Amino acid sequence: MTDAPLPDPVREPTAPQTARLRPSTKAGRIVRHLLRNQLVLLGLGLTVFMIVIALAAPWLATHDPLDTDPRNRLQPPSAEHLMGTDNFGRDLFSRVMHGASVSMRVGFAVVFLSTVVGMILGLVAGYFRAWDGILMRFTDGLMAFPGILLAIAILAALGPNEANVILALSVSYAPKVARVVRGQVLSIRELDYVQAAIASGGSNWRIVMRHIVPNSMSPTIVQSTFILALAILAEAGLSYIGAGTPPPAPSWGNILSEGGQFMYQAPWLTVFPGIFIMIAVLGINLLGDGLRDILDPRM
Amino acid sequence: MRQFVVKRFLVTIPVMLFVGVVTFFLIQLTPGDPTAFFVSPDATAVEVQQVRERMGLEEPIPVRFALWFGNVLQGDLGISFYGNRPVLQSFLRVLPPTLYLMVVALTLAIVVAIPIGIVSAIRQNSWIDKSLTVFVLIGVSLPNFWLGMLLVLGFSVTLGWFPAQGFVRPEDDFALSLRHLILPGITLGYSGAALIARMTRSAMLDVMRQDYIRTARSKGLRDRVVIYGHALQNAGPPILTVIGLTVASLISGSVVVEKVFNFPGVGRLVVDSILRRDFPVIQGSLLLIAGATVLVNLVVDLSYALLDPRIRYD
Repeated sequence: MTDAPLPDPVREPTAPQTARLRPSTKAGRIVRHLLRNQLVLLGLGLTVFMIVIALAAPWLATHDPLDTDPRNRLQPPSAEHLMGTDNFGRDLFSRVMHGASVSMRVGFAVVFLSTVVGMILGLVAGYFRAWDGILMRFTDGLMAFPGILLAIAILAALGPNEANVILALSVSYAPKVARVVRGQVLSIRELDYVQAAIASGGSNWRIVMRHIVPNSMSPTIVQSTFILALAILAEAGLSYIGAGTPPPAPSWGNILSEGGQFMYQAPWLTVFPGIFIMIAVLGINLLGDGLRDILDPRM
Repeated sequence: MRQFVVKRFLVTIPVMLFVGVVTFFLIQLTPGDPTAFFVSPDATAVEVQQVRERMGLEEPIPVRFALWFGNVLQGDLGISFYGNRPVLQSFLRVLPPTLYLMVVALTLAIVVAIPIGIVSAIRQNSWIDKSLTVFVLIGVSLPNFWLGMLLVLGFSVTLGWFPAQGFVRPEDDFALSLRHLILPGITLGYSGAALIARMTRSAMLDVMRQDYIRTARSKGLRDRVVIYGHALQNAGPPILTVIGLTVASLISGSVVVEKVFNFPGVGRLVVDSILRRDFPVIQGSLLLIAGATVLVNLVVDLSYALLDPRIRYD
């Protein structure tokens, strides 16, 4: 609205149906789009970078991440120890590289498990309406535990280890997937072509697999990127409080938990692992934002 | 309206019951015999049996659940494995510090986020709007405990402006208490602030293109009146919802943040109990926290309906 007759601090969109985050001027829209795409590219780049680190950790690491060296405790970064050493003299760079493996392994496993379970629950609840009430009360109950609290409870019961972290986080996120899938199914099953397929006697299996699943995938794909980011953050937080991957495994949360005790003498133990968590999560979030714009413009 | 309130209350009952079931059965999942935590390794079979009976472990699981849930409803959450203190008493003792922390975090979040959100909405694409995008992105990507550690590193270790850890009751020394609460408050409130700011921005943008805003403008009202009188009021309900969600996330966020600042609150009670495998305390605290979350959601829904008469439950 640069050509508005009066100075107007609020730029009203030219048409009421313009999507809400879109700017009004054409130039602004193009700039914003480019900016968005660049951010998506950055997100993709950072995500790939982290996956490569996770896969190549054994070759990237300059030392064994568990090898202690008491004579070289709490050394600052140097040519020999790129990020310094911790209170046992272990090489921080090698531990951070292996930490990427732990985070990515947990993250992808959680995405896989929670998406599969969530999709099944959501499809059943949305398609076979008799199951809807009970399944949705069940997810309500699980979602009443805020944030990582349900995962903490499960880990407190089962004991802290990597497999249980994956299980606990999958149980926490599957209800969210189920909710989104159910919503998709409810709207898709009312569409004419699905009703036509039902009327012409298509089997439930065929209708769900041929029509419903493919058309409800987009929001699930977008959601799974955000679950990946959340799971990496949650794994770090759980390990930090001692409910996740147990020490001496080099998970980022563990390194921060141990390193935080030496903040005065060895601040590098606090700074470097955190930067890697942030890069990983930021990259995945940027990628998720981009995917959402591309796959699901309504959200 | 009354019908809505009653219905909304009734819906919370099955959810609370389910929360109770989940909390109870989670602890039953624990591998091994819980009596192992209270009897010495060289106890006789008779002693073990006595402990099992005292803990009610001899009853079948549904009976145990009924007994436990009945006790919970009467405010009896069991007794800690350590020190024989009732769980409810331990919880209530550490509750005030966490509540102070949450108040500080929420106040900081609201005071920072809502103005940023409003300015971003009325000056779309300005530098404030662009920094909001970055702020929100970092808010959802930064592990809160790491932010806390960086704040300690910067403001306590290096600058020495704020204490690095601990808590002082405001009744004892208000200024010192506040100094203890600032860094954990920022740490806990940061991601909530990002979400509130983003919601304020998009709610304001939605409202700003309504017809009545155009009417208000065209009849010559000043921008200030239009923005604060007409727009902000109507952008209220979604902002309120996100603040409610933030409160719920502060409860679980405090578990991790309190560890960073060695803060004697509910979060540290939970973490310490996990490390000591003190199941009655874990179970009781989780139940109370989940219950508080359900209540917060209830309050948000009710106030939403109060603010926006179009919303009705069906």
